[in-house]
Amino acid sequence: MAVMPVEEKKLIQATPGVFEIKGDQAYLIGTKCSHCGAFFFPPRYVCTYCLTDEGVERVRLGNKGDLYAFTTIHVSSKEFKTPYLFGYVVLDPERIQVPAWITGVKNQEALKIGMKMEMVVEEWMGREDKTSFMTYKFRPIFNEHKNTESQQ
Amino acid sequence: MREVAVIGVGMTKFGKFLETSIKDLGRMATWEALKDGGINPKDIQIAYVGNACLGVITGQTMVLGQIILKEVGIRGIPITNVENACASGSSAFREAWMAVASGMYDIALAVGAEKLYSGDTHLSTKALAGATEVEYEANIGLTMPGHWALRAQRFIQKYGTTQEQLAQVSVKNHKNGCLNPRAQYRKKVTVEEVLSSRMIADPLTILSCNPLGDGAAAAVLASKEVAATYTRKPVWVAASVLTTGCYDLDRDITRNQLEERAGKQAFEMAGIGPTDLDLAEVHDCFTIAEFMRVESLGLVPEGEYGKWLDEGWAEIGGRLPINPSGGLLSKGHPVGATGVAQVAELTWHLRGEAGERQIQGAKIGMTHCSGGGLVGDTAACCVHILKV
Repeated sequence: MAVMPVEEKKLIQATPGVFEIKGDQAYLIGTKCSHCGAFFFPPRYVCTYCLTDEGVERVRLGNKGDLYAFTTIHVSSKEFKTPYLFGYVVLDPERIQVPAWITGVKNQEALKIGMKMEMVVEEWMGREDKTSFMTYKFRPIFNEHKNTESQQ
Repeated sequence: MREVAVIGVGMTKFGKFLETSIKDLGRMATWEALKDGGINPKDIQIAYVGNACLGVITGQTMVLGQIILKEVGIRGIPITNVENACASGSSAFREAWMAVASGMYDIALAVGAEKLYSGDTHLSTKALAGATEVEYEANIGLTMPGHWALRAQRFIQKYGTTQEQLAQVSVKNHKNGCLNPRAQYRKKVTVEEVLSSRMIADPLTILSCNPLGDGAAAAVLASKEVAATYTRKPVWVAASVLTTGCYDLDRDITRNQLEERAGKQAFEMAGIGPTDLDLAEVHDCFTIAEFMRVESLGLVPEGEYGKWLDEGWAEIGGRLPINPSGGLLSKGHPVGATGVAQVAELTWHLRGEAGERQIQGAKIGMTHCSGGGLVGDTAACCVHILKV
C-alpha cells in the first residue's frame, strides 16, 4: 500500500500522534491491553475494562478494515471543502471503529457497508493559515487482484 | 433527599436575534421565571447557568452566569457555570435540584442561555463540532450532523426504517411548533418537503436537522417547605438522572446505551413506568435522534417508533405525545437553553397553562437532553421526570 511521499519536516498531523509512516506503509497508532486484549484508538493508556495502566502498550494497528458506515458531509467548518465523504472503518484484525475521511472515490454511490478499505496518508491544505497538515484517510480496495498482478 | 418543586419558569421566544445580546436573553428568561413564581431576586440562594458555545461565537469563554444574573440583581451568592454540550441546561437544572434536594439550600435557580447565530454559519458549525473530541474527530472532518448521519445509515439498515418515517418526526414536530408562540418555526412541513430540502449530511436534510437558534430559559426550584410559602402550584421533580457514555469501540451505534440506562434509572427513581407518562420532551436534534432515543429510553418498544408515527401515537392527543412544544426541530435549539426550556414546557402542561398545545389532564412527564458525540457514543444524557 502506497502513501504519498512526505518530507519528515512536513509531517505535522492534523490529529497529533495517531499515525506513523514506515517506508511506504502508514499505520494508525493505538494501544493494546495485554490483560483483556482490548485495542484502543486513539490510544488510551489506562485500559477502560481492566482499569490498569500495567501491560497497556502502544502498538501499530492494522491499516486495513471494513467500512462500517459512511455519509457525504455537505456543510462543515470553513477548513473543509464540501462535499466530502466520511465514515467509520472497523479495523482488521482489531475490530474497533475508527472515524475517517473517505477518499479514492468520486461519491458515495461507489461505497458499500462492509467493503474492504485501506489507509492512506494525505496532505490537507485546508487550514486558514495555509499550514500543511497530514491526515490519515481510508479508501476502498477495488482492484486488489489487479494490483497484485501488476506488482508481479 | 428532600422533595423539590419547580415554583417558577420563564423562557424567551427562540429564534434568530442578531441584535439581542445573550445577556438580555438570559435576563428576560430569568426575570420571567422570578415573576412567574412571585420570587424576589434576593431569595435566590444559589444559581447554575448552562451554556455551550459562546466561547467560540463571541469569545465570552467564561463567567456568563455572573454576567446575566447581575442584570436582575442576583449577586453575592454562589453562581456556577455549567457546560455539558446540548445537555448544558438540563445539567444546570440537575445541579440546582441537587443543591435543594441535599438540604444545603432552600431556593435555587437554573438558567440556560445560548446565541448560535453570528452571521457566519461556518463559525456556528465549528462551535457545534466542539461537541465531538475535536483533536480526533472534528479536526479530521466529522460534524454533529455527520455523526448522526452515520448512525442513521446503520439504523435504517438494521430496522428497515424508511426515509419517510424519519421525515415524519420533522412533520409532527413542525405541526406542534405551529401551536407554540415561543417556537422558532411555526410552519407546517410535508414529508416531501423534508426529503427534498437541502442535504446536510446524507441522509439528513436541513429539515431533518435542528436549526441554529438564540434564546434562554430559567427555572426556580425550592424545597417542599419553602414552595408552600409561594403561590404557584408546585411541580415536583420526581426523578433526576445524569449519566455519560461508555465509548466502547466495538459498539452498535444504532442503540443509545446511556439513554437505556438513564431511562431505567429515572423510572425507578420516580416509581413509575413508561405507560404512566402523559407527555415527553425528547432531544430531537435530528429526526434520527428522536427515533433512537424514544426507543432507547424505553418509551416505545425497540424498532417500533416508525409504526407509532404511522399510527399518530406520538401526536398531541395520541397515546404518548412526543415533543408537543415542537421539539428542537421546530421550537429551536439554542443549545445551552434547551434543557431548561424543556422543564418550562412540562411545567406549563402540568399546570394546564400550555395553551393550544395543552396535553389534556397531564399529570406526569419526562424531559430528556443528550449532548456530545464521542467515538460514535453520546457524551452526556440528562433525564428528568416532573409531576403534579
